[in-house]
Amino acid sequence: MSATAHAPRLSSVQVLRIANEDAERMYGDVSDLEISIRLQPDGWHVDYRPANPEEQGGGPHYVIDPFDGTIKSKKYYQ
Amino acid sequence: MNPVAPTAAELLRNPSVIAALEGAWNDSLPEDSQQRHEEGGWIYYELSSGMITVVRAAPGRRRAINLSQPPELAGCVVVGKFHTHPNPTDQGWDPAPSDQDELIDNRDGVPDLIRSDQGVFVSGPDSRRGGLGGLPGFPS
Repeated sequence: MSATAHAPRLSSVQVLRIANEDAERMYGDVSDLEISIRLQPDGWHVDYRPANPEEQGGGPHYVIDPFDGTIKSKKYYQ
Repeated sequence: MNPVAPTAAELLRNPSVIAALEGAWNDSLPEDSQQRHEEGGWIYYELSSGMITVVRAAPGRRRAINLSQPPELAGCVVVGKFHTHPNPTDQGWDPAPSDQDELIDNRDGVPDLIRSDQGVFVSGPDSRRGGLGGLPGFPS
């Protein structure tokens, strides 16, 4: 049995903290972006996108390991 | 049936559009890590002459720009828009259109030419939806 089978799953708050730390490092202020978070089979998906529906632009998209918090993939959209 | 509007490929061969894309790219200050920002504007087709005219929008921010309000030009319709993605690919930024770009460009109904350090991407329809008829701004 793998170690991760017994590891507690990270909460959405913990995952958001991980994503936000990376997002602010790359984007600076992200307060104009809205965030969606959902647990999928491959991990937590955290997507940032412009809150203003008229604004063309982008934000970071992450897939984060639900047990150890590793960022498995990321895309920095603009 | 409305006359057909120029396609994205045709716009990309137009000298005015080429110059506008390069001007916007340079004005984006892609080499300046502190000041780089998005630039863009709209591409118009003059119905009487077929001439292409470009109007620049107000500068955007580091990774966003608002192109939702093209000014009306007498006798012209909007056949495209353009903007830049000035953040460098080799620092991890994605040069391609974002989900929001695709969403807005498909909604607005004109091709969007996006200049990046990897060349030009096209987002939205291949040409103005519905041809050259309809409203002078975006067709929808």
